[in-house]
Amino acid sequence: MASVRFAQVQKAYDDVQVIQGIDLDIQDGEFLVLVGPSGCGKSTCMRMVAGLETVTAGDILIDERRINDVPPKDRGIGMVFQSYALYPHMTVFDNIAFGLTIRKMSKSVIEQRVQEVAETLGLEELLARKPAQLSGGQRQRVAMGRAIARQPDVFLFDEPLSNLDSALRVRMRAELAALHREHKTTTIYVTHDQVEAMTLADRICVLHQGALQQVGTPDQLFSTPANKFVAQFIGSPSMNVLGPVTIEHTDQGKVARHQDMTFPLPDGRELDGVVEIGFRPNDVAVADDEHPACFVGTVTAIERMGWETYTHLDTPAGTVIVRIEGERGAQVKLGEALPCYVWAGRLHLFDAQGAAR
Amino acid sequence: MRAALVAACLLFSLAAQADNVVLWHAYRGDEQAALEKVIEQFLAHEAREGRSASVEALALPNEIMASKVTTALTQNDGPDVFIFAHERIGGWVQYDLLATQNVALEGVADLSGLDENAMKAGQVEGRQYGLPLATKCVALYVRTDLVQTPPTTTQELEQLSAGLKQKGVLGLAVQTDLFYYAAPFFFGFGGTLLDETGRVDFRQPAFSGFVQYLQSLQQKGYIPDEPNGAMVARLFDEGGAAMVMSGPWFMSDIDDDVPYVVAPLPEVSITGRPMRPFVTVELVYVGKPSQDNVTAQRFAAYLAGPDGARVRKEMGKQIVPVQSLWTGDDDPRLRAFAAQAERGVVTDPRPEMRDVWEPADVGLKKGVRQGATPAQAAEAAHRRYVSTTKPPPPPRDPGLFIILLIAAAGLLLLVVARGVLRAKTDGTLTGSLRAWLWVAPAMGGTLALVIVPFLFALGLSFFSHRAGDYQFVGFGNFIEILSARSYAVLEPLSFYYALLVTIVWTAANLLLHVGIGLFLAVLLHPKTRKWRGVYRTLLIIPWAVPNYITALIWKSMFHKQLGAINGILTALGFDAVSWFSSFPTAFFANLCANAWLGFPFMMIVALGALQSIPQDLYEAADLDGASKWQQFWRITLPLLRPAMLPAVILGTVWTFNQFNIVYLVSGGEPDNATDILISEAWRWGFARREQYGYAAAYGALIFLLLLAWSAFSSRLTADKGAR
Repeated sequence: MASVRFAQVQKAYDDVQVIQGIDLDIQDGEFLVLVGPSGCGKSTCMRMVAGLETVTAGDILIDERRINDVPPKDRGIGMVFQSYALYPHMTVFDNIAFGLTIRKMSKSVIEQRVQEVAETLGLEELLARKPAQLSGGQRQRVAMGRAIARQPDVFLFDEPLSNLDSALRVRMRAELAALHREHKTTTIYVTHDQVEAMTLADRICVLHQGALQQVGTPDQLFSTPANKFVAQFIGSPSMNVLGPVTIEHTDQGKVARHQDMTFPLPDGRELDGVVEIGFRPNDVAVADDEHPACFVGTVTAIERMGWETYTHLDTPAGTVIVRIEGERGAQVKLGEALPCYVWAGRLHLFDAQGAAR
Repeated sequence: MRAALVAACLLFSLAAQADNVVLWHAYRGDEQAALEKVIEQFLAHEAREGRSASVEALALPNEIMASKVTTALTQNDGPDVFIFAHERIGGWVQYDLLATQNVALEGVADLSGLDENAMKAGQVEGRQYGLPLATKCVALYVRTDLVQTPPTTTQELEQLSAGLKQKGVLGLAVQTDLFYYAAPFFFGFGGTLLDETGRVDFRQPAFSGFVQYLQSLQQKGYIPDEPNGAMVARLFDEGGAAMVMSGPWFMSDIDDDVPYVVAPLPEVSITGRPMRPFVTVELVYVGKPSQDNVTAQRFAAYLAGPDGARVRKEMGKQIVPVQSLWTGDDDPRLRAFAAQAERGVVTDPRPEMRDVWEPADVGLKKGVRQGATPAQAAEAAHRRYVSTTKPPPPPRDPGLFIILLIAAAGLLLLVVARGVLRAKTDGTLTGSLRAWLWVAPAMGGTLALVIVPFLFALGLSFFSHRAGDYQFVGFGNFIEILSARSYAVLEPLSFYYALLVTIVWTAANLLLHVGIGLFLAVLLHPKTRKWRGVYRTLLIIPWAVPNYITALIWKSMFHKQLGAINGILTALGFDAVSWFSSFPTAFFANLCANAWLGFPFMMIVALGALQSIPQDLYEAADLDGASKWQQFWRITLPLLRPAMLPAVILGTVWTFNQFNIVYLVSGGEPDNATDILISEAWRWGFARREQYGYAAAYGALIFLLLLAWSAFSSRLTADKGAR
């Protein structure tokens, strides 16, 4: 059990700065997900923790001990690789036991430890097999088993589920969550899949171009994104952002206007410098007598998901995606002009730099 | 009308046949020029006589001449006329490959002036099969700036040598480890070779006597250790040796500014007998298929006759056996050779003579190189002689074998027929006809180049071959080989000894190939390594160079006096090592050469395999706490296995049959101790009077061994594949 701290951590390859000075505290027992698009530096961050990459500047501390120069094996870390990195010539047993044999543990201890791990992960029947004889999910479990067996203080997962099919991914996600609930080991988990991030994380850390964008609980990130990048990255489908908007005072109060689209703004918000507005597809409804239309869009594509329908609308601001629930959604037709209403309270406002207001 | 037409055709064809003569020879330089001149004169002569003729001369390397002639004439495809030493005449007559020569041809040449002894060298059982062109024998070259009067006795020779030694000059440079060059001493000690039955007794006193004498000269420092042809020439040219025993061919090796004379060999003081060299008579032969080729007969006579001899003597500096041509005006050096030839021993032309050289060389080397006593040397020669001339296994009735063969062939036919029939009925035959067509050229090639020779050799192993005569001996050759009756089980020439050497050879080589290859691959693998491509290219060079060139380079590097390796050793203050005199050092020399040749292949395979090991396995191992060394042993090595195993299996077969290195580097020395199975098989087939059947049986055994190995190893790889 340990806490992990990044203090102004930077990483550069030759002249290319890939990590721009990150500060991050990960609590003991916390499940932190590093998320961001490809190339954002999330894997590099994790590999620096593991000791597979050097730290160019700044410090990484585990339990307040600076580990920049500690060899990987002495950092108390268990890591699960994206490719699993199982030793193909060893049996499952030997794979799990490898780190223990290297540490010259006694045979009986190793045996017992591997058995425990195998039970936890349901690998008892597979111990004599070689990786090539396992399915993707089984390999995934073995890779986890190998990390667990050494009883590390910190778990590192590098996109562990990206090689699995979607059904298996859902199941493994649940298992991972259960495992963490049980062991309460500090975990850093890298993924580009924001669903994984949302479902697993205690806290999520969003990275973009080597810089930290926002750290917070999934809820915080979803409902109060710090900037436009986080707003659009978290949540599926993505938040609709449009602009530039002009703020006008009308009889009904303040509104944001973009061409002939008009969005009533909530009271009490700082509106200076707001140039763009955003709203999630969920925060839109089909206009009715009670809720006058903010804009009208022509339906260009329909994704029917059962109870809900994601409808792509062509509007003066480009494509806007709205979620329509229930029967009204089922009735949507291509080419239909759909008047839409956006809940004022759910509007997100961004300034010229993309920061939320 | 018709009769006339036929006659005309016949005449035409006869004339056409008579017109052209194909001549094979091994002459170079002056001799070749002289030969061309003689041809020119002959054609002019024939034209004057109103005969049309042409002669097509083809120069072949001397080393391959005999075997090429034998093969070609056997297949009726040989030269009409060829020139070669008389030593093979007995065998060729036995094989019935030579035409008898008409010595009484009108108007071509008068052969009566040819030396009678030389003429005799061309006779077998009273018939003239070859006409003498020149004699060649060893005489004494003397540097006149170092020795004023050539010695006439060995005592004088020794006195001279003692004086020269003070000046740091060797008295006599002679290739003492070759019986041909050392034989004058042997005959000077009263030695005799073949008796009437064609046998030699190497335990005669003369053999141990002359070995002992050579040893004493060596110990006194009058003759060099481990001399070879190039070294003898260099010593003489540079004034490092005052005298050389060699033949006329040595003249062209001598620099122009060296003052020298040629003198007769001295008398052996201990016995009072003259030293007598082997005399080789160069003969011109007409091949049996050209028996009726009149132009061939006439050309041979013209070449040997006075007109031809004059040109060859003047232009080609040949020692022609026509006494009337030698006058006081001639080059005294050539005259000296002519005189020496008259005192020499004409090499016995009987085929049995060819059994003498190997045992004699073995005995000599044992004495002058490996420090055995003269008696041990003689015994070694005797044992080798007995081994290599042992009678073939008794003939057997091939009846049972023929039945078995027919049964096997029938069975094979049946299987093939059934397959074809089945394919025909289910339509796959017509369907795959095009496919068969595509593979037909490759199949034809394989059939002609692999399967037929293989079956032929396999068949051959059931026969014994002596002098063109094939006898069916059943499993006789195999029994002979496997029972190893003629020698101790762990003595050179025994199959089991050669097998053991081969196995040790193969294992040691592969260990080095894989070890060095792997080491270099690991060094070169990291992508960050600077100059990686350059190193890799440089390291592949040993593999890219033809292996016989590498072999010859290594051989010269291991030479006792001239080699780079001893050069380094002596520079470091060690004694020079006589690398090819003892088994461990000779084996080591072979091993060095072959390790050098073999590691690049393993390096390339290992490099490829290393690149296929994912980097994250090492990262995982880093986290698991494995050191670099542990990572190498527990991850790299096991993961290289699948790729390396086939390479190792392949390398095993290559090394097992690595003829070139063994043959060219150590040449089996000492005493065939470093010979591996394949080089041993070669010796039986081609160096010991064409015991083809015996050699083929060796080949079959090698095949069986490798078959067993590949069956075993394919199981090894199959196991790995199943994981």
